[in-house]
Amino acid sequence: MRDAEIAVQPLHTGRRGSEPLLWLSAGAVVVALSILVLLLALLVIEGMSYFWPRPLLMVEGVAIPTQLGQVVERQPQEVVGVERDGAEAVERLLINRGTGRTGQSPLVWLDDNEIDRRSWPERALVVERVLEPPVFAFLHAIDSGDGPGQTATPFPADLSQFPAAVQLEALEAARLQYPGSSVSLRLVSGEALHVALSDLGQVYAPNAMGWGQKTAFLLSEIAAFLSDPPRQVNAEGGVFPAIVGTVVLVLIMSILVTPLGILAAVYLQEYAHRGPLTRVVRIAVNNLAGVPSIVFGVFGLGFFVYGVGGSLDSVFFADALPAPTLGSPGLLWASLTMALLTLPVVIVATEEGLARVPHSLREGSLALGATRAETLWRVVLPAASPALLTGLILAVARATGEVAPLILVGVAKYAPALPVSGDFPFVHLDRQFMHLGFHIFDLGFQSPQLALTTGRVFATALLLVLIVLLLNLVAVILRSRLREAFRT
Amino acid sequence: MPVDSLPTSRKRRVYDRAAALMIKTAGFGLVALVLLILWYLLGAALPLGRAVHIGAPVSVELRRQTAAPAADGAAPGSSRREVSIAGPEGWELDREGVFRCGEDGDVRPLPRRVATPPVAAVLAESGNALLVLDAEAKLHRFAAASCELRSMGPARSQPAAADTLLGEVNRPVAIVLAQSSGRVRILNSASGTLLFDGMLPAYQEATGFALAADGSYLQGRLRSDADRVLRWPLINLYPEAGWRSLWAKVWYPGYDAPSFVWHPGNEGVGSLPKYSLTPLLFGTFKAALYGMLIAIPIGLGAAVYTGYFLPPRLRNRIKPAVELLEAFPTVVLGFIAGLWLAPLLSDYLFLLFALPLLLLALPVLLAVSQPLLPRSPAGYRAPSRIVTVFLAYLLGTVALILAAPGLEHMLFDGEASDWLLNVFGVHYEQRNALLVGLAMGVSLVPTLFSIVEDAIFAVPRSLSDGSLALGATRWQSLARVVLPAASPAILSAVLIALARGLGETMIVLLATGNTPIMDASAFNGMRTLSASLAAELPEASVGGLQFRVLFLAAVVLFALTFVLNTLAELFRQRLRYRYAGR
Repeated sequence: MRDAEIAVQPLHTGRRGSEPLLWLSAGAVVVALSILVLLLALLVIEGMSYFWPRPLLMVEGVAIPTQLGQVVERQPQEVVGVERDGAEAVERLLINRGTGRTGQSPLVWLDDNEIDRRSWPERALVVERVLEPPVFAFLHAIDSGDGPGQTATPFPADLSQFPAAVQLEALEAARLQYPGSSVSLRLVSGEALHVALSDLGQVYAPNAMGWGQKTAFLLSEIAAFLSDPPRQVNAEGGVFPAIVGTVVLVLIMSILVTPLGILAAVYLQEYAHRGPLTRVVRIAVNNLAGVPSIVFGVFGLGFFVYGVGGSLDSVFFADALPAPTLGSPGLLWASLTMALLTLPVVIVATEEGLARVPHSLREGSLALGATRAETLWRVVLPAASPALLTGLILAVARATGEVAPLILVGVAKYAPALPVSGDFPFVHLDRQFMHLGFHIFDLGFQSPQLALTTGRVFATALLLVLIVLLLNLVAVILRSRLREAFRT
Repeated sequence: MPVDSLPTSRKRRVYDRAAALMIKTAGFGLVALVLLILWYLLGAALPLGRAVHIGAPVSVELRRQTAAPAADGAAPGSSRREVSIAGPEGWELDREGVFRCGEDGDVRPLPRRVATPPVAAVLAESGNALLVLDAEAKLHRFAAASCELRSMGPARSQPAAADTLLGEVNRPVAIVLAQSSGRVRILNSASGTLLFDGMLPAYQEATGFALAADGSYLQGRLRSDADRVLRWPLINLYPEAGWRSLWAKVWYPGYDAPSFVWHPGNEGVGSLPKYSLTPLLFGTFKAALYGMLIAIPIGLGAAVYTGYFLPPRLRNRIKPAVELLEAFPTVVLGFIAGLWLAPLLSDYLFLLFALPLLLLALPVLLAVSQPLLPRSPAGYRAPSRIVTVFLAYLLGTVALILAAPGLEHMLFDGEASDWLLNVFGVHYEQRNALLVGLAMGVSLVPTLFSIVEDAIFAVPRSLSDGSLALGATRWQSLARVVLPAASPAILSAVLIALARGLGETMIVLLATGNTPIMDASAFNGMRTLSASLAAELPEASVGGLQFRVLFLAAVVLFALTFVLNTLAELFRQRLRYRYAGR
């Protein structure tokens, strides 16, 4: 017998043959933790660098036109037919040169060895525009324009000789006093570009910024990202509607899922007898937890949207048909689908909490003459309340990160109308909404110029991960509190 | 004080009953919910099974001028020898069954398998296939693209007296009618699936059968009244979706051989939509298994170490930390894998091979070298194993990255991706199964880790203490005492993780090219059931063929995960009862 074999082995000469496995399992812990740390670090670095003002690089060379832009990517150059050891490490630069000229692709690859001179001109400006992508250029002048009713501006005819700070000040003054005027910019190619002040977004000179200014800029950019709606087909601007959409979605979902989840958990923990019936209920809970989220989406689309929504439409909104009111994907159906998806999360966490409430509490209450329902309501549920909260938080965390079912039941690429507003009925359950997770998917999967949107996707991902991480941390802390409370 | 004498006791008892009822309803409501989901998905997919049927005949008066939308192929009175077809490549099959081809119209024999003279023939599948019903009542299918008339698939026997092949309109159905007995067969001409086989109701009353040009009804002239026709509506719902088209190899026009194809085209227009679920199912398993390949070593290893070897204080910190991996939404993991890691890996493919080896080799090396090292002096506490391994990994990885270009050049004589192509003929796709495996592995680790760690920790300490006291090493106690005790939970964790991997959507959508190929290679992509659902269902028309097929895909996914999760729960219940008496 094996046990006998072990027993007869002398203690000190015991085989250590399995020790590598011990070390390997320790290695697995390190790998798992490293993945966590590396992923977080990647998100923080890449997400933050989206807000950090990138320097404007000017490159000149004999073989290439002069370019002014931000370096997007560096890549080791593949030198075809040249022996590697001999050649120097050659790099390729991907530069975003803006869209100053119409029809010009903003991205250009430049070979390192074609560049003769690099400079970071102090006066180079990033000029963001309301309706179009930003341009990188030098400020030439602030014109009054030549339309009637335009007052002449008192600014010098040639602003380009002044330092960047003065230029920006003049621009701010012009914005306040002469909102009808326009600025004339000079592109690095020598062409002039006129932009009306009303079309002008933020203008800044990244090369002239110090660390303090850059940090302040970073913070203001983050604030704008959180509070602005997206512009230019989601390529610029903030993610405010997506945040609101996500929050409203999980709020409605919480209202729907909490009572049902708690009741079901109470049934399993307090009322169910051990028997085949209870086993069936448990199997149902586990299947709800294990059915792929996309299947819930399919069910939600078919059953809620087309089935229930379609029938409600034909009863209540028959005049609007064939245009669907509730029979199209929207907030209500998305929340319901998410509630189904997160139901097992609430059940499992609540059950765990109920199991930790000592039996003596229940027995005491029953012995004093309370009914089962009263015991539950007055004694057990209050004692387990941190667990209920934990369940809810975990459900919210799960719903915040889940995207697949939303693709089917109500999320929109771009929905400027928020699902909440001041008009009756305040929460618009039939509206489509934006969602942080879907925003990531949409930008990352369907964006035409990926290199330009990657930073934005990372920033959104960072925001999403931080929210979910925070929720999870709160849940962990609450749970350990509960454990401490009933430790005997 | 007796409880029942309280004045409010009746009211309280009613409340108590009501609460109990509500709670029980909620409990059983869950079962109802799962059944509702299954029932609804099945209900939406089931109409696929009733692909075609024939309605009751309607008698219609024939007006001479506007009449006979259908009768162009059928000369009145004679339904035999109605063969006259011009093929796209200049061949011609005339009414007598003579096959001519070439510029001069040379007469050529029909392929030998056709028992001449042929009874009927039609050009089918948007003019890509020639269907010939021969004298032995066998239906042959040929590629119509050239004079060669290459056979596509085996001949299919029809009822003995089959004497008319009524044709195919804009969907791939062949309709064979035995005029003498009134027996109708409707087949999917591409896959050969029999969609309908039965008697035409009241066929004796009519003669001169023909098919409407739009395929909506069969028509025959009434024997009793020459001015009236009988029309049998042909309810032709989903002829493309036979069992064989969905799961087996089908020889589609334009392909060299029968194959599994998922290519949802425009329904009913132009080329055939092709819905083979097999490549999607294959892709689903491929993605999940590559994910498990990454997740199992990390998840199980970490769980074993955390649950059994770590002191409680460290365990309380490390366990929640690893579980925080769950906080990365899969859309974020998919995006990082597909858009950040994919281009990076294709440049540093060598690291992809070398790093796992390094991660495996270093702990082994440490374990082997540990007994050889001198004992640490008294008063000096050696760093814990975790820290040692971490330092080793850090140094090893840095060294590997520094040495990578040289090593790669030395080992692979150039780039690793070129080497793959030259030696194995494997083309490295940027978005491949390995990438999906990595991302999915990360998403599955917390699931596996959490369940297994709990199970290992729950095994009574007395068991392993006993084993240790008998002289077993710590690893021996773990492997022979603790792990067997926790094995149901480990098995259930693996099943649950596998189910999650099968249903994973966002990672697959973002990190593969979503091409429905069937190739197990780690270096190319796949398309999964879930990704197809997410990408195609929003655009599918409600109640259409693609809509129903996608619901069937959802049913398949549901059934797969249902089996896995139910098994997992049964295993777990076994464990729960095993230690319940503790």
